[in-house]
Amino acid sequence: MPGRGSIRLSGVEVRYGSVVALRDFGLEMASGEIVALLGPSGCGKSTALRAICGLQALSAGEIWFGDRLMNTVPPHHRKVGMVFQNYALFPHRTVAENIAFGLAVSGVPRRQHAARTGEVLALVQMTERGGHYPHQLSGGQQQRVAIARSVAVSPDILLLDEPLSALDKQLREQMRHELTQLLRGIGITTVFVTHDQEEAFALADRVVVMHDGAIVQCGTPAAIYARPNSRFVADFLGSISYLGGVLERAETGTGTVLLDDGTRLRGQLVEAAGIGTRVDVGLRWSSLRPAGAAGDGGGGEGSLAVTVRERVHRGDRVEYRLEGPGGRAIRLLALTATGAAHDVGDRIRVRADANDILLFRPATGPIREGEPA
Amino acid sequence: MTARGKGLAVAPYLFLIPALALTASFLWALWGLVHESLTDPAGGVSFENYRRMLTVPEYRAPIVTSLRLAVITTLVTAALAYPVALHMRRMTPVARLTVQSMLVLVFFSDYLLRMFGLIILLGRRGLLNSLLMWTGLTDSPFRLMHNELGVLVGLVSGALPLMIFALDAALGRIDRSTEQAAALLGGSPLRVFWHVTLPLSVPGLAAGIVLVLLVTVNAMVAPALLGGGFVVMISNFVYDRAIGLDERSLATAAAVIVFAVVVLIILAVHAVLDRFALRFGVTDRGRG
Amino acid sequence: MSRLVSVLVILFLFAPLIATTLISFNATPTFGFPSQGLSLRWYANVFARPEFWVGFRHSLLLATLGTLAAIVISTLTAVAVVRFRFPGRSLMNALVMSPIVIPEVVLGLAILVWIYAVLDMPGAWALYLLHTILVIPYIVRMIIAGLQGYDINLEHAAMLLGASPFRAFLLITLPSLKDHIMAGAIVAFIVSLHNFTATMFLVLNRPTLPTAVYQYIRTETDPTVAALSTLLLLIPLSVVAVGRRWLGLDRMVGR
Ligand SMILES: Nc1ncnc2c1ncn2[C@@H]1O[C@H](COP(=O)(O)OP(=O)(O)OP(=O)(O)O)[C@@H](O)[C@H]1O
Ligand SMILES: [Mg+2]
Repeated sequence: MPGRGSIRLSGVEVRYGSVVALRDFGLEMASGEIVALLGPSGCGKSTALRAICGLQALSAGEIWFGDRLMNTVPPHHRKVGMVFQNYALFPHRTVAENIAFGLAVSGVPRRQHAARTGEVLALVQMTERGGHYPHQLSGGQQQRVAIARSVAVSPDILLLDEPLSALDKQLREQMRHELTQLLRGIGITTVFVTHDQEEAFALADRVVVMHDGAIVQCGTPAAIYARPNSRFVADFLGSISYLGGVLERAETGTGTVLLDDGTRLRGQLVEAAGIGTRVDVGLRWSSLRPAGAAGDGGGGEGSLAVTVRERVHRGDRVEYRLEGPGGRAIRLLALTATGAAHDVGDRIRVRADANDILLFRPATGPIREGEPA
Repeated sequence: MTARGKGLAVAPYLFLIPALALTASFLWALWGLVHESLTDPAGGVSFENYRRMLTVPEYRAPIVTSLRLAVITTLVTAALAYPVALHMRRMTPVARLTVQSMLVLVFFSDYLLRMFGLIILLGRRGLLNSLLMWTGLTDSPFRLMHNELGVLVGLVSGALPLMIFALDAALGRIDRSTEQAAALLGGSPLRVFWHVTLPLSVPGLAAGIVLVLLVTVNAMVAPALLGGGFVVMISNFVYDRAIGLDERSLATAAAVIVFAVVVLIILAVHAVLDRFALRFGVTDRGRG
Repeated sequence: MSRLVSVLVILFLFAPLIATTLISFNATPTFGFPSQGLSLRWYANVFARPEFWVGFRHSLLLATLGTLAAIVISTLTAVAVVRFRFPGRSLMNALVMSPIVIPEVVLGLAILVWIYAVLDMPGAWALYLLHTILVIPYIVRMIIAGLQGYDINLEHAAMLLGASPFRAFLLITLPSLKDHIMAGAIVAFIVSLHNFTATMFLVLNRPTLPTAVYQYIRTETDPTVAALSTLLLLIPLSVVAVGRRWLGLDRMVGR
């Protein structure tokens, strides 16, 4: 029997009039699991959260919490906590009163309020702020109060809508760390929404990538990063450049392509493609390594002759903008090579492991990576 | 309390039950008014009341007087309110708050008592006349009230704050940079006002016109006290016939006519405003 | 130029109020100038004449009941209009706002000839009905504005913390709307308190304050009403104070 805090969504569909905001949405979560919904703006992430907590009615599908069908259960009986993007703290109540609100309406005896409020405030390190009003707090503090408020009533499930997006960059990184610790500490089943892949990868056990109301890929951060299942996912995760080539040979999961300049590369065949058809060859910037000057002979399998077009210093790294076969732009992120810095105009070779080269069916529609170097 | 799903389609109507009951009651009463106006003493249907209202000069006069005074009041009010509203825009926040406070103070003081104040001022032996005679500027008192002039003063006094508020709201929505741009292009202040500010403030003017119209139509105290029985406006006529003279069915016909005229004028103002909006891209109607 | 006009306009608007205040201290029963000495006898007379006190109590009762009823009805209406999409929504909105543009003689006479005379509703009730209808637009407008500017997530947050929709609205949304409701209620209360034309049709033999004052002005010519008027300046003065300190003056004039 599924435990308390486990969730199962199957075939969930949500429509706003003629707009389908969520289609055939299926997701199973174990108790205590942390899942990130990742996707571009408007893809239905918030709608998915609203469906789970009951603020949005389904036009099809089922939502189960444990072994209980929740479709007709109103939000206030679902035991789901939610942290809103703008935190939605009650402006006319103090921090402590915000937190005690949930306790009061769910019938916790008044004399226990102070203790529980103190407990959750301690959890988010806000013990001294109980008497403050929300407008007297910084963004990060408000967020902590919002989390404290939603966990105070001990919900089975916690939902967070873009929890870090309202914070500035520095605070965001600090809070990301704190939030991870906090969620792991409580051990609550959590779904959070983000359009920032770094955030998703840092916080979640599993990442669900969404596009246009549907799930396109679901898996652990490592699995998704290593093997995006489509151009959409790969593009969304970003930091990838594409070359064009023809598929020469295909084995189970891997394939060999002939690039336009005659180079052969072996890579992961992400999507089925016919022998002799054109494929897009995805190269992760971080997986490319310089492999000596272009004149140094073959350079081994998976190596590629390119021209340095631009060199940009990015703090601890150097980013090279390269021109590859067919005039396609490639980027390479390298740790600051002490001696072996390449200059603009140099012909060099770069290489990547076969595991880090991804072969896709060519993107239909505009190819934004095809920017001329 | 949000729309969730189709099962709640009746919910808004449940919320509206009291409002529906209330609107139904006054719509029904309005229907009753029309009904009464069309009923002859024998109980049959007749247009006799309307015929009398529109043909007998004595009955028609209050409507004509009211419309005439409405037009004059609107013109005078607009002419006085524009400079004030424009001036309020240029004030420091503190000065603006002071002027606003004064206007609100006047607006929320009892209209009837302000009319009484005007009697004190304008009466034969009122403040103004006794001041003039005391200073020796005149030997005999001026006739400042008990004529249309007195009534007009009362109407303008009642309507001015509304017009200022309406214009001030409309002017507040105008982007300052539009006027500054026009001024930089070499427009004199008057030309900038005529070609930029005035067209953009038309929604406020329209709202103001409707409000002034309603003040004039509703005026009963001003003509009664300041007109001294010499000026009969439509509200006085309806009231006197209905309550004083017991000619209720004639009064109902008069009321229906007033209502129709007011609705027509409001529709006309909005039609003009819409055409104007198309031409000048002024979409915000303001209030009213 | 516009500065001069502004000063004159303000002066013109204030002149009646200043005149009544000056005259209210006159020792003689005239409105003339210069005054022949100061006295408070007209103030004493205000309290000596029973009709003012009776009218004032009636007006207060009427304004209180009308405003309270209107708050309830307006809140429900505003929730329906702002939170739901349903057939007839804009018609309903227009209908509750319409009393503002119906001439007062029309409304007063309609209720008199139909609801009072035909339906035989007691006069007091007909008057409450009239005042409720008259003031609803001012409150509805304000609450709709409040609801439109309100962050619905606050109510949702309350529901997810375990509050039923009704409690979430009552405990979280309503307090957030209190400024709007207060502003609407103040305007409504004063509109009701000062209403004259429509009220005249239904006062019968129980005057309100304005109708009592009107009768007095018509029959007597002494500064008693000036004294009363000066006392009643407390009302607009407190509106200005509340508007400046708390609710915002712009809101008081319907913006
Ligand atoms: N109340 C609504 N009425 C109509 N359409 C809506 C409504 N709410 C959302 N939508 C539409 O549904 C789609 C999904 O919206 P949703 O808010 O779930 O996106 P999101 O992934 O959370 O985006 P964001 O990252 O911008 O918050 C969008 O196309 C949006 O325009
Ligand atoms: Mg969203």
